[in-house]
Amino acid sequence: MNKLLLLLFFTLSLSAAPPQKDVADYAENIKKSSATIATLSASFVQKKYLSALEDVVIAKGIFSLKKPDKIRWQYSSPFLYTITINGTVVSMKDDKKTSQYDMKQNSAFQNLNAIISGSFDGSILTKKELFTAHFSKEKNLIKLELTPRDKKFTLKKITIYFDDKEWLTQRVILTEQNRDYTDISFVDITKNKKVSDAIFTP
Amino acid sequence: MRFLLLNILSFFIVAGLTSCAATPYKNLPKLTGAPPLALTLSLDKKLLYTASVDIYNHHINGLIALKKMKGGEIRIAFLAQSAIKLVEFRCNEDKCNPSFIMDKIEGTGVVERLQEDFHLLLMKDVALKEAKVVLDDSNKNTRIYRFGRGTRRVFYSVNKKSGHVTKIEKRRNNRLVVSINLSNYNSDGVPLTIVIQREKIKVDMKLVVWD
Repeated sequence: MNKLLLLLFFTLSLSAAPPQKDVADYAENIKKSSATIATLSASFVQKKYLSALEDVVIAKGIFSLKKPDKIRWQYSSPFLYTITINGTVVSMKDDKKTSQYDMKQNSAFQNLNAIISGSFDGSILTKKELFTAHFSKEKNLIKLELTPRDKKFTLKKITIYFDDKEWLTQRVILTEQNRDYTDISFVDITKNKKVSDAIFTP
Repeated sequence: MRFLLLNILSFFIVAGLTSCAATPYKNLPKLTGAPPLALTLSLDKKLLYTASVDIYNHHINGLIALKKMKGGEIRIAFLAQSAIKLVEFRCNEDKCNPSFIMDKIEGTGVVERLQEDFHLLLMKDVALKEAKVVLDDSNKNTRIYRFGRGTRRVFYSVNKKSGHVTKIEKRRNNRLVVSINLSNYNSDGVPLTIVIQREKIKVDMKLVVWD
């Protein structure tokens, strides 16, 4: 915990930073909240901004998480598509085909998964070898900005918004090295509802 | 001896059939006074396709977004289903050039093939400005526009009744290089399904609603 706080303190910009006590509180609250999560379900809206096309592609679906290592993204609009992660096995299912591979073989996907699931289970705050972190407050949301240490990483910045009551992830923005970004908002988040293992098996 | 003769005969029959199959347009009569070939893809509205890609032994799912910009340039983005952009093209009057390539797919040959396929779909090739020969396949109610000369030729098959392009084939030395099938056109004149088939590569595209 001390190491984590040290990392956060070092990476904060002094001018824009909230008081250090608040930062410690944010990290602590996120960690505490994530410790109470066994399962999580939410609807999501994914907005992909394409800079070259000056347009946005919007997709919707259901997100499910079951600790310690099960995740499911079920897209229902404008296409049917499901990504499940069960341990290190990633399965992708469209209307015709299911394909599977070991996440260990795809470092990009492994990192992306670490970001999204890590924002929910709090483990993102321990990935100090991957990111530098910066907290700030925007109205009733806590904003966490993560900058990858590897400049060649697919993403330039990851921004995560937590609510300041339950400390659950409300929104994730993945900014790519080009000017494109993906903005995922979660709504109707339910915690610790029974989620069957079967949905993580394609 | 009789068995050997039969074998030799069978060989020539099979070889003859294969040869015909490799050049299906060879004996078709020429048409005169055919209307010019209309654009393959109508881009009055922006288009979004899901893309299921089988490449060698890998399977990738993604999205292909096409949009005509105000100045007339067509921009195409190929995204992984996780929404990360893999490649982007900007197509002007004659060319589709990549304007972004994700480093992981650079040098794999995928971009060059996609570029060639979009050239064919959008007819972005100087050599394709005007068909030299139009053939008539009455059996299939199809007009075939033949472009190029020498060993490199491109054939666009058009349904005579609807005027829609149903198939595009690129051949080199009469060998099929790429085949693109377009089907289930909607009322806007946009194919709901596009299947691009190359050796060891298949791209199955399905139109979805892009609000």
